[in-house]
This record gives sequence, structure tokens and C-alpha cells, in this order.
Amino acid sequence: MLRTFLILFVGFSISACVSPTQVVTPLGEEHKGVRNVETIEVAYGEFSKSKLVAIDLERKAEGDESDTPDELQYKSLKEAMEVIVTQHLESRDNDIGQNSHVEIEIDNLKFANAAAAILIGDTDQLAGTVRVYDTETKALLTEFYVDVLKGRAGLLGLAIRGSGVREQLSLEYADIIGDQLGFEDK
Amino acid sequence: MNKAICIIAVATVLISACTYSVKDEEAKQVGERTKSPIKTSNLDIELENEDTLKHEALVLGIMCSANKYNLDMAEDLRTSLSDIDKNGLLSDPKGADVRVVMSSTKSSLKCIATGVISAKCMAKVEVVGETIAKNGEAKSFAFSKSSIRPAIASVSAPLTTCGGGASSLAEASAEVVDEIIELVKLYDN
Repeated sequence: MLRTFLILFVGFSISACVSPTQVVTPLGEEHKGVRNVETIEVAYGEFSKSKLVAIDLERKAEGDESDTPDELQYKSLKEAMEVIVTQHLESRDNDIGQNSHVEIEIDNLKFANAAAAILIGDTDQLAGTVRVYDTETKALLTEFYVDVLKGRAGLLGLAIRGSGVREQLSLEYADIIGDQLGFEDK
Repeated sequence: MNKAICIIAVATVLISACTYSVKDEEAKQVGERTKSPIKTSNLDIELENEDTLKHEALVLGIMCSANKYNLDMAEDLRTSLSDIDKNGLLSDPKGADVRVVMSSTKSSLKCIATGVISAKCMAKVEVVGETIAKNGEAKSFAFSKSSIRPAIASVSAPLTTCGGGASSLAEASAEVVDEIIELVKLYDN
């Protein structure tokens, strides 16, 4: 039991340092930075579909008292991510390349537990697989796994965290997709 | 402060990291998987390119990424094919009735915390190959199997925090092997 506790503590602590991305199918050099993202589709993986749907329902029932933009306030994670990722990639891609379809399969959305964050540290997490296809040929261009982790330790960590956590995580997730596709920062 | 936490965390994770031999892990899970009774066929079977079945699973995400998961599906498939092979040797001087030629194998594992002290692992194993009948007719196959298990295989046993990952890989790879066996059995008229 002590060991489990220790490993979980270490897991939470280490996740303050990194947001790992593992490439399953690398993007060909010829596609880097020259693809236009035309469509984005977000789905929930079988891993934690019920949990994610429950989070969506809770949000719709209670709303969000944060400073989340109104258009995202009552949207499900799927809908919010589609908006955030689309807007972010539109600001980064160059609109001149061949069209691509981005498919995101979310495995986990976890919010740091306040008590755990104060006592041992905890993390906010948004994790899932991204697959990018050529719109015309339907060929898989690249597949990678994005795990966005934001460590929260102590009262200060919670204070820095602020509000709109889901949106913060989605934006970082979108940024990693842009990096993987070789888009330049604008 | 943050830097110190990171250094301690990295060091502890490295100390606690394991290399799992998924085959051994499967042996520990004996009894959890019900196999259909083995019935020897009238087929002489050959297995080719079996080395492609030995590989390391790609761990996705942060959890359990400090561990290595080595899969040796070659031995499992060889054993299972031997069980249904006519003489049990997987070779015949007169030539095989069916050749199982492996092309590629890959597997991935992702583990996610589902609660304060609970986590799940999902393994996916994919194989591609072909079966070639004695008359030269080839049929390609591609099997993909997934398995979800709790990440902590046994809280009381040491070094098993990510042991459930090995169990889920073992289960998925065993199901892939079963699919190949069922496919080969179709040649037994």
C-alpha cells in the first residue's frame, strides 16, 4: 500500500515536468508544415467513455462558473475541443497545402483533486490519440499520442491553475498537434 | 523547489521501473483464460518469419512509460501451432499443407489513472501475415485485439504497479494467436 502511494505521488510529481508525446506513425518529411487542416473530429475512446460523458453531463447541468468564453460554457469536451483545436490550427497552418482530416480519440480528462494537490500534489490531464488522414485518399499520414499534464502542488499551484482548466488543456493539446504537423508559430 | 521535486520523482521512477517479459506474465495469469480443448489436425504446418513476433510494446502516455514490455509471441504461436500440427514438429520433409508467414507485429499499451489509487491499462496487439496453402494459394490476414485490465496487478506483490499492463498485453496477444490458430484450422478439411 505504501509502495502504491509512493509511486502515485511520484507519478503526480513527475507529471509536473513533462507532457509526453509518442509518435506511432511518423509524418513524412514531405508533409511537414505544408498540410492544411480541413476538418477535425473528436471522439471518446472506449477506455473512459462513460467517465467523459458523465463529466459532460455534470457540466451541462451545473454550468461553469469560470471565465470560460460563453460559446464554450455548456459545450461537451468533444464540442469544445473541436472549436479550440480548429481555431488554434487555423491560426497556425498556412492554408496552401493539401487538405487533411484530424481525428482525435480522447482517453482521459482528469482534474486535479484540490485536497490531493495540497497534500501530495496532483495533476490535470488530457490524453488521447491523434490520427491525421489525407482528406482525398483517406491515407493515414501520422498517428501520435498526446498526454497533456499540468502538475498542481500546494495552494500556490492551485492559485496559479486559475479557471477554464479544460480549455487550457485543450489549447495545449492543439498546440502539440500543430507542432507535430510542423506548423510554424504565428 | 519544483526542480527538486522533479529530480526526486525521476530518480524514484527510474528505481521502480521494470522490464516485463509478457510471456512470463501470461504464465502468472494461467487459469484466467479459458482455452478450447486442443484437437490435433491432419495438417502439416510451417511457421515462417517468426522473429517478427518478438518485439517491445510502445507505451503511450506518461503512466508506466518507465517500464519495458517485451513480447515473445513467437513461442506462444509456435506452441499453439505445434498442438494442432499433425506430427507436432511444425516441419515435414514432404512439404507443409499450410505455411503461416508472418509479416509484421506491433503492440501498444496505454495506462490511465481512473481514481486516486486506481488505474487501467489498455493493450492493443496487431499482426499482419499470410497463410499459403500447398497449391500456392495465399491468403493475407491482419488481426488486431485489445484488452483492458487494472494497472495494478497485485497491490501486495512488489514491483507490480504496472504489472496489469503486461497482463493486458498477454491477453491481447493470446487472442491474436487464437485467431491465427482458428484460421489455420480452416485448412483442415
